Amino acid sequence: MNKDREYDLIVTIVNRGNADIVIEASKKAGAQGGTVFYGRGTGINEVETFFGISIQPEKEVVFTLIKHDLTKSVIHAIIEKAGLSTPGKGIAFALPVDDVAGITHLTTPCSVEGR
Amino acid sequence: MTQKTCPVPQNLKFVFTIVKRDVGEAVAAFYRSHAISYNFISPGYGAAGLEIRDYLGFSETEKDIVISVCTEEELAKVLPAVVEEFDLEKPDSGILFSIPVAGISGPRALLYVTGYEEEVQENSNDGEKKESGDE
Repeated sequence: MNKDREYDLIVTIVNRGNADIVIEASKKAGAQGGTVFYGRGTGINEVETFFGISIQPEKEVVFTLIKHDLTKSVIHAIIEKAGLSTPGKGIAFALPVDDVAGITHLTTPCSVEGR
Repeated sequence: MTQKTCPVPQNLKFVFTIVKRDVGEAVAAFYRSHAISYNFISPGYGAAGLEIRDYLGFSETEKDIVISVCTEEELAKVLPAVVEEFDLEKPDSGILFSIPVAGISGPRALLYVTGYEEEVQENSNDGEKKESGDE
């Protein structure tokens, strides 16, 4: 794995309605924004039945593209503000990103790593 | 029976293209015309930009997230073309990034996402052809 990559993708999965908290926390920690889409959780905290009917909890998935050196501080800000250290509140993880385009406000118009 | 995941070619990538709502279809068509056949479009919402625009309700936040699978070589060829075609150099027009794929559920899935599903279909259709020949 290329250790000196420039960008990471932070994926945060929270209960529906909490994406705004994640976005706000990540922006305060240095991110430029994010993309939100909807999902459905099936973890141990989500399996609840109500009079025999299982309730499917809706989730929001937040994609935050961030410079590698900011990843740690942004992910810690998200954990703190969204309360991710509490079970059932959500999870966050970061993935390595190779090629990036369209981040005009962060870098040169089109940068391709390792070429 | 235990099932193993399929080893993935080192250079396989997941490409995320996030564009304005309803542009996703055009992005997928563009990738298809460049022989990247697996494209998955999901609706999403953008959260970038000036906060004041959010208060005023001016910001168009609805997005399409296009998830495609291709090799590093294919991406290197198509990336400048995508940037030009969809004006990704312009602010607010969209972003693109790729993530390396570490594993996949099986050889059939690998063939499917890399665009060789036609070969698999041809093989599976052999039986049907024989049957129709008997008639």
